[in-house]
Amino acid sequence: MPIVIISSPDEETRRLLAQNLARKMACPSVSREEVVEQATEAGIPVAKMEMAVLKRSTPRERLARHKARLMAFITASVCQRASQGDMVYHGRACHMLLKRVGHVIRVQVVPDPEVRLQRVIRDMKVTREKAEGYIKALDSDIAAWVSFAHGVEASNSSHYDLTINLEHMSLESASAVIYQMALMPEFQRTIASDRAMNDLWLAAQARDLLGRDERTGAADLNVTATEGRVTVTYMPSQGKFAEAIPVVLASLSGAREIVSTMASSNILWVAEAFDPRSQTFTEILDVAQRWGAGVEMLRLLPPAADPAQCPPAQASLPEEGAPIPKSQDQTCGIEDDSEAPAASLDTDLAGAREELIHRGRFGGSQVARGLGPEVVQALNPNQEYALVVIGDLFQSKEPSVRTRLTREMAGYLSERIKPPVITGDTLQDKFLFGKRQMGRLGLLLASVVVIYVLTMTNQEPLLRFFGGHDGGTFMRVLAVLVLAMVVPAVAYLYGGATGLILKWLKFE
Amino acid sequence: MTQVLQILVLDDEPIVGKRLKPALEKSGCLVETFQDPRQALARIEEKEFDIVVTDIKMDDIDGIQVLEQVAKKSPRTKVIIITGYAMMSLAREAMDKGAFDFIAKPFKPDDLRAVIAKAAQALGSSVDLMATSA
Repeated sequence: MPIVIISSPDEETRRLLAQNLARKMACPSVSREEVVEQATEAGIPVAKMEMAVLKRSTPRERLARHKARLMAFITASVCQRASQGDMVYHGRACHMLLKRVGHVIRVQVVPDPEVRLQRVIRDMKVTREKAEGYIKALDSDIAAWVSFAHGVEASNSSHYDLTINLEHMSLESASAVIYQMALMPEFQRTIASDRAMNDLWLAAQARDLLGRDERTGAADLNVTATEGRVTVTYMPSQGKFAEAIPVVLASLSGAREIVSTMASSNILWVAEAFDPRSQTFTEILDVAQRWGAGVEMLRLLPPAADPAQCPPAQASLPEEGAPIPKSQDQTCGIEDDSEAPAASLDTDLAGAREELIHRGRFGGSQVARGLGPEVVQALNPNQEYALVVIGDLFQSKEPSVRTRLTREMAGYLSERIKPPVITGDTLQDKFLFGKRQMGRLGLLLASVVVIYVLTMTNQEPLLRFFGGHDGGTFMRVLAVLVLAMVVPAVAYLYGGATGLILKWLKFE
Repeated sequence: MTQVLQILVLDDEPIVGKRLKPALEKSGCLVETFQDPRQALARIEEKEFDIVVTDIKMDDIDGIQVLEQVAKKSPRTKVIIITGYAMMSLAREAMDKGAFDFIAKPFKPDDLRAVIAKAAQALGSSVDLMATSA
């Protein structure tokens, strides 16, 4: 039987359905709430994360590391239980947990709105109007949490195998439908699906171990496992954790091999503001993932009239230690006040930084004020940069002036630093394959085909022309000139098409 | 209102009151701490506090019940809820029922001072807790 995962914003509905189904499948039913409580006991500040989402105001990049720990804890816990046999697991958006595992049925349950409303009216002792407001607000909070935790919309039905609307269906019928689905051959355990789950479990255990240990608790790490081989990647800015990683993971059982590797290089992204939803961000992240590189952000502010206004050159993310399990926490969650005021985090960096940490690609951040010379100064001499991307700068200027100044900045840097410097708007053209490149590839391929067809079908006259058999000196000179022009043109078309095909296939 | 903030702190973990009382008194507040929600509710019946800081998860009476009781007895009193566990639905319920703010564990006394300062401001107090704590 497969693992059944039930996602719904209504806790009561999913709990009742999971219990009903678990009875049919003769297996345990486990709730997100149980696992999250264990995570809290282990010292992961889940309440703090939820409050940050609920208030929608706290700088959430501080919580990105805690989020990685929480996801690893939940995944490890679910995999561990699933390894013991069948299981029904239910939560708000738990369908995102075992994404690559084949023997999992992901069910979205839409609760009966009237049943839910009546329950809220009864339990909270409020009017119908207030209950409606509460449900609406709670669903919005849960949607914000799902977006924070998994980076997806909970309502996106493409993530589910089955969606059940309980408005016109009883819990018993819904449970029977899922049970029948669980018997289908598509969802049964296979060697490949078991292997995928074991790898996921191993990676989650490794991430959890690293997060718990004080030597590595503050590191931003990307942990993967393939066929028992655990790979931990850290960014160059976090080289100090390198020695501790294998020591901490020595106690990890089930790993065939542990590889700790540093991302080979950094991409430096220079901009005034960093939007994680922008095209530039998506493209830089895409390139970084393909190159195995970290992304270092340099927020470059316009030069200040008064040098005293300059922000500190370095504004790195404050490091927090490993979580303290509740059983060992003598303070009951009331920490000591800091002696020094907390470092103010640049909110213009916050969103992008959170997303980069989430994707395991955060290579550091800095804030500087000035122009080209300040960018050169900000480059870390011990860091190998693979690329420098000039993003949105000079935002207070007119668009035409902004474009000119950005190009001037790119030119200035190209002359002074070793890594290639490009502007954000040319990133797609140079390193990625999109719709525009697809169109260009089509055009180039069509041109190459036309030239080849014409050449093959007109071999005799072409040979006569290029052999200089049809005329005197003039024709021979003309043949040489045509040859001198045609060969580079064909090479350009052929080379361009081949280059784009390789880019499409991600061979660079 | 008086210039000295009258604060009641309720948490069934004794260490919470022990740590918060001196930290808030240092900021010039008058603080009464309770571990038993029943005793705290009895005290709320007797005295009107400016601010009530309560844990949400307690054995007999939870923070929501304390909030409802305070709202009934003294609507002007601001209730700040402390939570150490993930309880989004309960937090939303508390917000809907008039909780002034939430603060999640682990937190520093300074974090609570900042929330209390906001509550004091909402009450029309001119007390600057952040200045007096420094």
